Amino acid sequence: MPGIRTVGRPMNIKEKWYLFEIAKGMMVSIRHLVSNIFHQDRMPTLQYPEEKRVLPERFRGRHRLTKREDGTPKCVACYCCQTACPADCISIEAGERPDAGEKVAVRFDINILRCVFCGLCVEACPVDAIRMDTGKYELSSDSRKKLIYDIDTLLND
Amino acid sequence: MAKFTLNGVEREVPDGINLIEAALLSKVRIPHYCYHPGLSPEGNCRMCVVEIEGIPKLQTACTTLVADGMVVETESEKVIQERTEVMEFLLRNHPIDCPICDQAGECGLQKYYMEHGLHDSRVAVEEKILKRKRVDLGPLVVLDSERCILCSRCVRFCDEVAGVRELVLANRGGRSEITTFPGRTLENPYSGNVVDICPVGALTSKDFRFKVRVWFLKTADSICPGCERGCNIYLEQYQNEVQRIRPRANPDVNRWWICDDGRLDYKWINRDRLLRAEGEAGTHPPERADEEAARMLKEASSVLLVASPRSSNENLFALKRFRDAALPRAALVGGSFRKPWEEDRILKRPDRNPNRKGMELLGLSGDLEGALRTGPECVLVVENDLLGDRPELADLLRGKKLIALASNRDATAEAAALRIPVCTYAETEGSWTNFEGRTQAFRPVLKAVGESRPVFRVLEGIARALEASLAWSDFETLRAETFQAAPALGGLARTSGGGAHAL
Repeated sequence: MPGIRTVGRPMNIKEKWYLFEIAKGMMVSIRHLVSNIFHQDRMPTLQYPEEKRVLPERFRGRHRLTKREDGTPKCVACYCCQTACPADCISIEAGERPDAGEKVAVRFDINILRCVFCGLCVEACPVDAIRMDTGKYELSSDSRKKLIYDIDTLLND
Repeated sequence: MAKFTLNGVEREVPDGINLIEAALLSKVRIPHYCYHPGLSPEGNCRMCVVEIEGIPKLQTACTTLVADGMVVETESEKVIQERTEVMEFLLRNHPIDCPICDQAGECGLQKYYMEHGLHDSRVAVEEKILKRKRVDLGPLVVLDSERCILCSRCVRFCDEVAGVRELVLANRGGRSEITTFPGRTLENPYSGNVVDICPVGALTSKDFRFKVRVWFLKTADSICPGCERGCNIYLEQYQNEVQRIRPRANPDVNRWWICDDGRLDYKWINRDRLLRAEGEAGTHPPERADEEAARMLKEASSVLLVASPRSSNENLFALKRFRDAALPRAALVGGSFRKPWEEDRILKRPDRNPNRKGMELLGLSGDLEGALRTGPECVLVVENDLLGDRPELADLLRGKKLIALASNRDATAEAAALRIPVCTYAETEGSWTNFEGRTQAFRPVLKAVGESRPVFRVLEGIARALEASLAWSDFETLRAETFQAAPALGGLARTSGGGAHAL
């Protein structure tokens, strides 16, 4: 291909013979085996799903929409999250809010299949309406449709 | 001509223009809110102040005419400090509404705050003076008094352009606000323009309210299809649907305005579109539809081709060539039964067809009704809703084989034995010639909806099925041929970019 230079890495005799290299690899495995037998508490493996990892404080899980004190959604449908989203996974429809505040999202869908969990939507939000602090990361489902979360799902997360 | 010095450079500009315009000629933009080239200058926003040598105080550029030997500074320290302070005043009571404001993204306050403000507010949110929000001013306009900077552009527009005194500035000081006179609403047929000229989010459109954020919109230069004036417009699209129409400044045609009917004349582009070719035996893929049309035209003993004053010059010319090449014996007439509307003294013209003049100049007009009465066996109607415009024609067309090249599911398309989808003006290139003989081009903003094709491509396809030679490599070739064949069209008229005074 133009512009790409292939650099060879010739093997020396020891490497070509392979036996030494195999032994080296086996040593690594055996070292871990022995260490895991004698120090089981230090073993990194978890008995998932019975046992779950402790998440870091700022772990970005599945989104939720926050509510005001009166229980209505905080979201004012400014479309900042949709604008910031690099994966184009948020789609909003704005509507009129009868009381003060004027604007509200009547539809707020997150297509979690597209989401890359970058958290830019959370950063873009001017009213702290969207957060990724649910700690939920088990998102599998048996249909694609269920993986497009609507406003009710997101508000009750 | 006047010679003056602008920021240390000597410029020569025409006499009698103000400093904002004079500076703009040398590509220097002086920030302003209340000044609008289409309205009388008022000098109340104080944003356009400049330093003029020999005058101790700063002067408003919008009310100062350029004079010989004037030395003007637009970016001096004093001017920049003044602008920052003016911004602070204008934002004194401005609500933190950007997330819910439709103007966000094209707002003068946002723009100049980023350029000249960037200060922290010295006023706590609770201290701001509250005014009326979400006020229903009229059928098209919503007012938010808190966002208003009292530039009075809207008041001047109603007084000077629309010619009705509907808006007024009431109250004093910090409590001043725009309002209608008691018992009146803002309902003049040009009221939508106040939304465009409002430099902030005080006046917003009801039609566009909360629909889409402006930064998602894609814009194309277009021409209003509403009447034979041919107002220059911007067509704005999101998700392949036209979302709104804004006027595009053209001092020779519509200046900075369009009428409300024109502003709302886009909904049909998104609605009831004909998506695939349909015949009596169900839907057809495009090629099959062309063959079907060719068969019907070939089998008929007499054929009438109906051109439309709503088609572009290029499509009309293509139809003419189609007749010459494929159906030399067919009759070809143009016309429309569209009912005229009431003319006004501002922009609206009675004839609601944008290309009547172009059709005449291409020699396509004639007695349409008479031609229909001669009893042709097959009628090919191109972009012309004959039955929708005049339902009585149903009797006359009964028993005739009707082929419609239509963009929408209109009455004519529904009655046709074969309907083939074609692109609207929002999806293709083209040009219309307005009543003054000015030929203006429009550009596409949408992708073709469904299986619709430009009219000239459909005609090409039918001609191919009729074994006639008719083909244009691209649109530009067709346009060049059109203008060559009809020099009376005068080629494309100069159009203005229109964006210089977007604010």
